[in-house]
Amino acid sequence: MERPSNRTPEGIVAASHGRRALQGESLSQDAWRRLKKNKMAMAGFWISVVMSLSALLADVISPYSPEEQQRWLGALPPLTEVLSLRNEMRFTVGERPTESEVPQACADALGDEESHELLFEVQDEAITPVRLVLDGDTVESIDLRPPGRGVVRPDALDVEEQDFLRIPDTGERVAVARIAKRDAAPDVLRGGEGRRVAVLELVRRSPEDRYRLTVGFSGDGTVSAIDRAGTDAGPSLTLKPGYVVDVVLDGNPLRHTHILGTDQEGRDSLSRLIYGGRISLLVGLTATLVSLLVGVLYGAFSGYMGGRIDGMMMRIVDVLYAIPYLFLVILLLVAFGRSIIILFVALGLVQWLTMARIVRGQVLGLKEKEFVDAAVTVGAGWWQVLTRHLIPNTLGVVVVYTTLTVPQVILQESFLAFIGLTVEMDGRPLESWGALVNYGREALGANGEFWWLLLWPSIAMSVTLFSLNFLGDGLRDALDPQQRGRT
Amino acid sequence: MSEQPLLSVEDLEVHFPIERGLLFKRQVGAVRAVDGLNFTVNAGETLGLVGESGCGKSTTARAIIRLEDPTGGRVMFDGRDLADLSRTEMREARQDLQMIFQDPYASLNPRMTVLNLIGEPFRNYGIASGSELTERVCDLLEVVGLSASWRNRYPHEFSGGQRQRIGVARALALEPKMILCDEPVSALDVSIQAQVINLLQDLQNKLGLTYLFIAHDLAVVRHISDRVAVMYLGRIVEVAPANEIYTKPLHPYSVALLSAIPIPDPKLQRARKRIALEGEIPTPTMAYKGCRFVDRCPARIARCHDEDPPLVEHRPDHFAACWVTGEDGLPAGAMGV
Repeated sequence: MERPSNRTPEGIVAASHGRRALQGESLSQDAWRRLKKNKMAMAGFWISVVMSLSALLADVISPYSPEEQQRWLGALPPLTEVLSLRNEMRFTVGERPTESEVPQACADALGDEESHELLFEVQDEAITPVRLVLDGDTVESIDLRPPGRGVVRPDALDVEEQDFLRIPDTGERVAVARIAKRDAAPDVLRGGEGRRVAVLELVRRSPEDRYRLTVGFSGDGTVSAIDRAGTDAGPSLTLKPGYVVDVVLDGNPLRHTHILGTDQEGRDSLSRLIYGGRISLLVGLTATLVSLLVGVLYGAFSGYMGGRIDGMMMRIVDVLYAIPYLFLVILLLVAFGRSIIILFVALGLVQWLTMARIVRGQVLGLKEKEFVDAAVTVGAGWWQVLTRHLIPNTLGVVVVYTTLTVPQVILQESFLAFIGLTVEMDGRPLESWGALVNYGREALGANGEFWWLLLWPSIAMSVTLFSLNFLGDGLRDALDPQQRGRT
Repeated sequence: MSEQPLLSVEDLEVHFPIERGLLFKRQVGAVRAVDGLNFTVNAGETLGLVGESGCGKSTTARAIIRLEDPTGGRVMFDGRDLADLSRTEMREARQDLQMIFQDPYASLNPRMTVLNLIGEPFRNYGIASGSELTERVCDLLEVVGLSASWRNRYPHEFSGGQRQRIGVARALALEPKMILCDEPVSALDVSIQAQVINLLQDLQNKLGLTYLFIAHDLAVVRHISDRVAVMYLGRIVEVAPANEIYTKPLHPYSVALLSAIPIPDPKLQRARKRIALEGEIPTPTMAYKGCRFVDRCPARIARCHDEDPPLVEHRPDHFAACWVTGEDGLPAGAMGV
């Protein structure tokens, strides 16, 4: 009996222990053991895991909806505290406010059997309709109608700092400090022909227009009384979120923080980031899976067949390779609509080429090995040889290339999003990190005052790409057969 | 010989085409790795096949089991011509004919456990599965002297000799009649070689196996073989019972080859005259009119250049392909000694 190798000293003992199976260490277990010693790769691995989990659990961990617009919030810098009031609220005495109308904290508190008091500090708006008579782009006359004071026709209208002008239908603000007769009209009103009338609203918010509103709830959750500045405000009242300055529930202010700030539509940056990561990773993984499935099988088959078939299959790859992929992707997106499925197909269609070449090269070398001949002599058909012997042995290279393909695809998708080719699903735009970067770049402002809009998606993308690349490099080292058994 | 031999190789040819041209390949020549090979192996015996590197030993074995397709000749095995079988027929025929490979490091798939490696033939032919397969693999492991508890290990956790035992177990799985051993011990340490050789002999005695044993180590071949065939440039030049070929070689090439065996006694070794062949091994790309060995043969005569010597039975069971030699071997002084 010859001595077992050094790695299996327990083998001698085992021989006398009958047929209890001892576990061996497979090549993948060996690689995993060595990967664990590579700090950078493990950091990359765990960051990738966290990113994937956050993308997977976006619905659970995201603090807000990524799409809900709260325009009155505007672009808030990180860590800004804002009121916990998101929707228009309607209170009717004797009725229970629908859940969507009340802040969640409020609704939670209303569950118990006690009565509660909600205190609103409301800043009302004094609205003066303004009619401008325009001739072409020139203002001919200004016509103010303050409530209960008839018509005033001043030569010029000065908009004070705390006031603003807006278009009544859309709510769009008109950025202008002064309108005067025979001057040019504000930008948004220009471009019309002949004489016409434009209607605007002058919105003023003065301290006199501020009042307190108290809503009392009885124990069953219905509204018991609505009190406005000390007097009964009637049976029903609607509150718009933009008017509320402060909300207090039983003495506790209802406020919350946007950790990463909001964008100019008032959408929460953190939520947008988490959902953006979901799109980016989904695109990266799916396109890589497509390339994995098609590329590995195609390459392995081509390499194993060899000769004329191999030649033809690889020429097809060469031809596809020669097509500039960006044109192809853009063409497909434009021709078949910006569906995310088309994007998967388009990116996967391009990515499998390299995978096929790599696997083919591996198989060309592997099929000359004796274990392939040995498999044939014990009755393996070509499918068994391919799937049981050749493809598993290309796994190391395939895994490495896969981890390096995911960031590549993420980057490509980001590029497409950056140039404006965002994808959609069910008619809604899916905003990946690339799209967020693009949005941030557009919204950055001349002095970079909205820096957080660009910074967060950039960091998220860079960290993820670095992580995946470090992981790929680490895997390459770990799976290198030359280094097996070392460290 | 009264009995039908188990394996009979007749005029076997394996030519590898040499092609030129980028798009339209045309054949400009051929490597005649095996070129008109004849030998037989009887049931239960071991035929040793020796020859220098590149003479076509391995190609012969690969052609017999159809890892290469022969370009000519017949391979009669158990009443069937293997060279003529379709792929599916050959797959069935391989149940009776197995092979042990040269390199125990390359011949085991590194991603499979021993259980899967040895169990693969059972799966492929639908012979056993599940716990029955495990049971049979364990039996095989014990037959080749390995512990059944090692079945979940991977090849890289074994030494060379242990791996070769796994290769032997895999070859035994289908209970073949014959095993082709393609230099099964040349990659192993000398101390391990003997163990594997003894294992092969034990298995032969127990299971009545027939071996074609290919090697370039003449001492190993003498030990295990009943008969020995000497190969030169794709042809058999001499076949004889093992002891006789070592004591009374007939062919000049065999004489030279055997004189190269080192003797483990310095005195004898120094006293002995070694015959150094002149010239290089000729390339197997050219076609020969006369004897293939003529350029390097110290005993050549004019006839050797023009006429191909046939394999002639000079003594009972002792064949040689040489115009010069006779029943008593080469004439004195023919080898220049």
